[in-house]
Amino acid sequence: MMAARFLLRRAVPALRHARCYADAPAAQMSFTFASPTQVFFKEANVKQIDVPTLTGAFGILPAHVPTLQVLRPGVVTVFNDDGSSAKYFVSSGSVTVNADSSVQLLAEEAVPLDSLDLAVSPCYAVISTQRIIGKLLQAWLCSPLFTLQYIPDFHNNRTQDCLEYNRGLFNEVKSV
Amino acid sequence: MFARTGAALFLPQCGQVRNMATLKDITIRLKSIKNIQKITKSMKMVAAAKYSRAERSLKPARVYGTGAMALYEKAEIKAPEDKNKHLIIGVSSDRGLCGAIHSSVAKAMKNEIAKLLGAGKEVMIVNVGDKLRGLLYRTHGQHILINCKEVGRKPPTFTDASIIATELLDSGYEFDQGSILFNRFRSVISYKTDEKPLFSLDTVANSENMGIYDDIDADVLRNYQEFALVNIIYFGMKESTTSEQSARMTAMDSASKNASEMIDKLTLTFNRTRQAVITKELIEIISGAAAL
Repeated sequence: MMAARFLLRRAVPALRHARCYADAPAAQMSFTFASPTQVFFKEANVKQIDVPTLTGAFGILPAHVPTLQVLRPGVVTVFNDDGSSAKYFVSSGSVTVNADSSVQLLAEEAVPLDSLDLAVSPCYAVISTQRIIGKLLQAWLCSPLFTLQYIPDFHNNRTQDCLEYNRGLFNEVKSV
Repeated sequence: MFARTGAALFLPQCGQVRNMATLKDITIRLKSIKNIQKITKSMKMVAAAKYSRAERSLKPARVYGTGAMALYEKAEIKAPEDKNKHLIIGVSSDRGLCGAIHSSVAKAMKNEIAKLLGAGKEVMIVNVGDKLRGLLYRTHGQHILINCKEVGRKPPTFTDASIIATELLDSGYEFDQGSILFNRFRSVISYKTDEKPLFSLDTVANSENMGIYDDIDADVLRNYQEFALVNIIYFGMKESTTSEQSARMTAMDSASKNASEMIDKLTLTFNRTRQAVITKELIEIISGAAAL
């Protein structure tokens, strides 16, 4: 009896890893999106998530192939089941898609896009209203650990480059 | 002659002679205990305010922390047994008067170190919090890698955790596996010393279940691991502050209660002593009058 139960438990993971084209994708995605100070989604069921990563932007649907990625500054779009979408600006972080279709999106700083005041002058807009790019700048100046690795353009220590990058990023954020 | 007078002076005071406390002594004692009770009561209220703020910010931090550790749990990454270099991060704080917070973490760290050294591994420890340094430097001073001060005065932020992680990664100690020991918050009156594992880049990269994760190169994995390290440290620090504030609240509360008990007992003694003094004076006056 015990042997049969043991065999059954061993058999199940094997079944899950083997995928045929005819299999319908799993309908449920357990999506957790959080920053250290705020939780946006906790094990929610959403349709699709668009994330900007260091290797490029891609969309995650349920039953996406498992992967680990590192985020770069940009906009994350979450499409709910009812078709509405929510946009968030993230500074950096990581995204994990597991085999059981659970997605953990951990952002170092994340704000909803509508709380950013983009009418003010470009570089100071994001610096003053939410201090995210400012935080990036500060983090980069004191400890290049994350920003240097997450922003491949910063190989020389020039603040001007940083602001130029911010301007480009601001335009990208405004156009979304 | 000198020696004899010296000996004669000492004799009455040795032995179990206890003078009855004078009214003055009791008054002084009562006043000092009342002052201490005021201080412990105010410390309890401060700790209660800090605890409620810490608990509120613990809720998102818990979701964040469990999300960060989800990969290691779901991929069931286990460190191989034959690796030699270990790292222990102990999370506590700088300030005392919080019950057994620091000593429980230090005890757990000492047990871990003894176990690992017994198995022949090399261990280094990181102390977050000055109290841990005080408890550990005498016996395990040669294992201390990094000490962190000024912890516990303000609520911990992600920046603090990233500073600790940066220092750890810059120190050059290439650990194969490690664990972080902190006090996990259970409720206002209870906490538990908990341990979460830390994995090195090689362990994660060579783990058998990592094969199912697609499109990962070494750079991405290294960034991911460093970010995960900061996340785990942040989670440990948040849980630790909440447990510390709740423990300080209960410790100060029981101190205030003890002080009230002592005040009651001393007040009774004071009244009894006062009545005895009055009675003695009356008797002296009456017997003196009778002698006249």
